[in-house]
Amino acid sequence: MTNATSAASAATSSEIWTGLIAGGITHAISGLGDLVGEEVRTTFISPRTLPASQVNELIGGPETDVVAIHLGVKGEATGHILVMFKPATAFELVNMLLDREPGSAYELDELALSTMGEMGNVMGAYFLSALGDATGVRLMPSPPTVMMDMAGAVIDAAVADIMGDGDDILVVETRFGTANQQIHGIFLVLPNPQLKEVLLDRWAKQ
Amino acid sequence: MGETVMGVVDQSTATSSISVGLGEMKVLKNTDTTLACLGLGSCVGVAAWDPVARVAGMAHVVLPSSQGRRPDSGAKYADRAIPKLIQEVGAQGALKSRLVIKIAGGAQMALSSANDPIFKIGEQNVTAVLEAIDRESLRVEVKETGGNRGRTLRLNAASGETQVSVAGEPPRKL
Repeated sequence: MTNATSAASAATSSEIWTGLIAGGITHAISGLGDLVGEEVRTTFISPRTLPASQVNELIGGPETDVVAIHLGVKGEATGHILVMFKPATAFELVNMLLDREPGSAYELDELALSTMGEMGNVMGAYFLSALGDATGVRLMPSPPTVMMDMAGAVIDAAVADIMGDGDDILVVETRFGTANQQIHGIFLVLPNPQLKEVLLDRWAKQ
Repeated sequence: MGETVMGVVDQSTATSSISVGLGEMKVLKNTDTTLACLGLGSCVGVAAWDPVARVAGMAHVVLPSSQGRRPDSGAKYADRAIPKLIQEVGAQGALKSRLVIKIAGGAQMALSSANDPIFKIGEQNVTAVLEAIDRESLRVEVKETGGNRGRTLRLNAASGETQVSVAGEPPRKL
């Protein structure tokens, strides 16, 4: 294989990966839109590789307060999904999902935790089913876990899991929001390296 | 470095701060700079200070054991990070017998039920860090570990003052 050919196929595999992930994320975001009854759009999507030491700088820095929903990716390959919001946004989402007056939720009580978890579950399931439809790879979300704390703290266990395989972390950072920006959040995918390989391999064989 | 008032360290007057990222280790000598492990969840921050040589070191430990893993150059694994931290501060003139060691982190962050084994990493990290410190015949002077809240650990390299903070609360002296 010539270098030129090698470079071309590398670019192609990167484009395919981006396309697969973007398709999954678009589906996940539409799932959120269905839940809240408003159109939610992806405003930014960036698949990239970061040194592990910098991953907790995402989301406005490691000490930024967030509400996060974690979903493990299980099945033929593994990884992690984190859906993150500023706490005020998360409370408004809970109000919207429970048909409550705006401003009525201001803490994560049991009902709010369950509501956030279910929302993450829907987004994760939509994301993984879209990847499955495109590649034939069977992936499932683990039950959701809801956290409210510093961004660095909610992300580091997932990063730790992937750091066992190397010091570079593949991340897909997506920002999304409603037209009036009442809801905006981050959908973060942290795939184990094998997940990308399996998806690209099976996509090529489809 | 800031003054201590009622157990609360005022960080606002610190001249600068250096972030110690996941799997990193940093060592400073007699400089008015603060080392910080920001937003520790399951990770464990290890602060080592020699008050005579005025050498400060900090490691941001991510995983408990390097067994079966590829070697790393930093502080990713507890079993490698502790000997390396002692070696690095020693290279700057710190004596092992004078080291004051404090640790923070190792939380289990889940608010809802957590089935994923990754949420057990915090507890394993704390155990591995304590064992590695014990193997060096050292002891931890103060620790704030476990629970389900994220923490930030800071160590000033001029004064050796250490503080821990959690979301929504003022920093406390550790």
